[in-house]
Amino acid sequence: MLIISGIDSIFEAGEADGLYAIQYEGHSTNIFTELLQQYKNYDDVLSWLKDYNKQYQNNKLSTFKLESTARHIVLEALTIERTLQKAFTSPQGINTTILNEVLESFYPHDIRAQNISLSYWKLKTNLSQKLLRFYAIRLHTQYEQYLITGGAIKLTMRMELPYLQEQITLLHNAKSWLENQGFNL
Amino acid sequence: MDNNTAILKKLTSNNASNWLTEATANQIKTEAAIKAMQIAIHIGNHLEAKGISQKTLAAKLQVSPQYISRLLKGKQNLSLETITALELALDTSLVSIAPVPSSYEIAESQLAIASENEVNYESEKGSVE
Repeated sequence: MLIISGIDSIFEAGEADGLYAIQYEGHSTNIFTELLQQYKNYDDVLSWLKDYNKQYQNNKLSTFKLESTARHIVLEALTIERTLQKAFTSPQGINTTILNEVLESFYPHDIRAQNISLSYWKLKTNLSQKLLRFYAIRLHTQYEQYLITGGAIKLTMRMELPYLQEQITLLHNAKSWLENQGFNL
Repeated sequence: MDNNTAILKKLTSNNASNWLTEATANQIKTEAAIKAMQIAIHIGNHLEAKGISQKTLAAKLQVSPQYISRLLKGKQNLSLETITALELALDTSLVSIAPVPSSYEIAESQLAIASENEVNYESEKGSVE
C-alpha cells in the first residue's frame, strides 16, 4: 500500500487556485510528474500493456493493437503536457478559472455505485481516444483546487479491474489523510 | 484565506514541483515529440491496413529495421527527405504545409504595408506643422 508523505504544488494560479499532487513515500517525485514521465515513454507504456495482456486475458489487446495503443497513449500524455504548459504560460497571464477548463468531472458510474462522496476528475485533451486518467480530489467548492492522487491507463469502460480499484482506494486514503491534516472535505 | 487553503499553503510551502518550469523549457521538444508520434501513428496504421511489414518498409527505404522501429516509437528525428521517401513508399501524405500565397495576395499585402506607411508619414508631417 502506498503511504502519503506530502503534497507537491504542480502550479498555483491566482489567490487559491492550483493543481497539486500527492508525493508517496519512497518515490522520487510526486505522482503526477512520475506518471506523466512514464506515459510519455513508448517502451514503458508498451511494457505495461504487455503485462496487462498477461494479467487480464479477458480484456486482451491484439499484438498490433498493443503497439498502436502505446503510440496513442504517448501522444495523449504529450498532449496533456502541452495543454497544461500552454494554459499556464499564456501571454494573457494565468486565468483563475483555467483549471476548470483543463479538468473535467466525468460521470462517476463506479464511484456513485459505491456511494463515495469524492469528486472525480480527469484531464482533458482534444484527442478522440482518451485512455489516460489522472484521478483527483477537488479540495474546494469555490476555488479551482485539485489534488492528484494517482492515474491509470484505462482500457475498459468500468473501474472493475483490480488496478483501477486501487485508484479508488488511493482517493479514499488521500481523503482520510487530508482530514487528518485538518481539511474539511 | 479559509482554513482548507491555509492548510494547503502550509503543506506545500516547501514543495513546489518544477514540472511547469521544465515543461516550459522543453516546449519545442514536446511539440516535436507530438509531431513525431502523430507521424508514427499514421505510418503504423498504414502498415497495418496495407499488410506491409516493418522489414519490407525498411528495405524499400534502404534503412535498417531498427530505424523503422525507432520511427514507430516516435523517437526518430525525421528529415524532409525521409518524410518524402515515406510518403512515396506508403502512397500517403504525412505532413501538410500551408499553401504558398498567390502573387495577388502578396501584392495585396504589400499594398496594405505601403498605405500604412503613407498614413504614418502623413501623421508625422501633421505633427511637425
